Amino acid sequence: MSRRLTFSDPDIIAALAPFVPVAVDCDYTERRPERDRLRAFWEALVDQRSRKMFANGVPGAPQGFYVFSHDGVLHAAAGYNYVLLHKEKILALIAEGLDAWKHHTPKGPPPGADAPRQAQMYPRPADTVVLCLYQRIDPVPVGSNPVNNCLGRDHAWIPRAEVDELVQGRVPEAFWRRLAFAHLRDNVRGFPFEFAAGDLKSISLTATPRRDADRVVVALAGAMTMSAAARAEDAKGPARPAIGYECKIEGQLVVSDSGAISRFTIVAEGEAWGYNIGAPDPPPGRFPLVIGLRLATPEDRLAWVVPPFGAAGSLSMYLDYGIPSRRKNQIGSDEEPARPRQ
Amino acid sequence: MPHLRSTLTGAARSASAVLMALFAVAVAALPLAAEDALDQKLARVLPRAGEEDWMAVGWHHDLLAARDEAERTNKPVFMWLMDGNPLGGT
Repeated sequence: MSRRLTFSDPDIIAALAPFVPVAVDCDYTERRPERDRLRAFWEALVDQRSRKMFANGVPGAPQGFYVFSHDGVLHAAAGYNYVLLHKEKILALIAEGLDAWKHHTPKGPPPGADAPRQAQMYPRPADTVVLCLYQRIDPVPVGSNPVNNCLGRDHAWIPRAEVDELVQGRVPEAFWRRLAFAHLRDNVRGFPFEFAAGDLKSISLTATPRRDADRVVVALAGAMTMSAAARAEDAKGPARPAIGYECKIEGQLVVSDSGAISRFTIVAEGEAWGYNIGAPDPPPGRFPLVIGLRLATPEDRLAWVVPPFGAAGSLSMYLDYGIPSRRKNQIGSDEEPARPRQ
Repeated sequence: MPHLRSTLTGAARSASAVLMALFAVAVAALPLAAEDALDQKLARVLPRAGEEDWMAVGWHHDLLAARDEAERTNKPVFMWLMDGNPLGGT
């Protein structure tokens, strides 16, 4: 995604060397109920920065960039759109924050120091198989906005029990639901659309195992059509065009008799159309979208600890049903998910 | 012409054996070919040069762990906060 390109610049990477860099999701802090050390520290931090208010008085998303010291004192901050893809603005923010930090003397414990410390957010269950997801528009239609050249990424956490089912030639419902609703959707330009149950027009997915010496090779094959109708502007939000993805799915899973998984690859190839409100400017009309998942390795450090996008709001929902919960500020279909949120 | 028949039959047998061997090789190669074809499709979306340079920053994913390290090492913290995890999807 384009925002990552900002931090691919060698000058910005060098400028961040004196810092402890951290990247987090607002959802992990702002919308969780726990009143613990993390929440207290985070709230004290973001409240030091003025946030654009919505018409109803609710503060806008705090997303952006912050420089602060360990006692929770904010030294510099900027909203997302102000600095997005502006190298000189990012560098100025970094320099401003570093200079203020150098002149700052910490004055005591950080906010929330006495509050209980929550365990890791959304810890990955031990019995899950980790996949890395990549996607891109390929080829990008001539004349498209350059943002469409970006690489989309995500992680997938698959319960081991589902892998064992696939080896037996059965495709668990949670597996195909998770694949359809959480992973086979366009996130090349950012925030993906959250489809509702009724948007899944069709899906077929088969698992065909065959024995190969001391291992079982499972061939996955299928197709999917996901489609949401356009929506006119209303009280819930602005107008949105029709959006969807129609693809063929194929994959391969290899599991040894000892249970070791040596290969878990899934590729979806097809045509996508439309866009989510927060991720505009797709190529016009239908465009070719390829989504691939592969088994994560130990070197894929983040895939093991950063939850899949679809887990935001409820990891158990993601693991059990595969239909991501809708966020408070997410504009999606009017239809309810196929199963109630637990 | 028993000799000729015998020769033709032998040639046919040899051809048949060769065909069977080729068929066996082809069948054995099928899974590998399928693997290769799938890998080629996957390769279309894998990160290209420069697309993972942003990871060189060495991002922490845990805010409090980053705060603790900043205190321990006497460094400031640079936080990238996003609606959606910058290190995950989107």
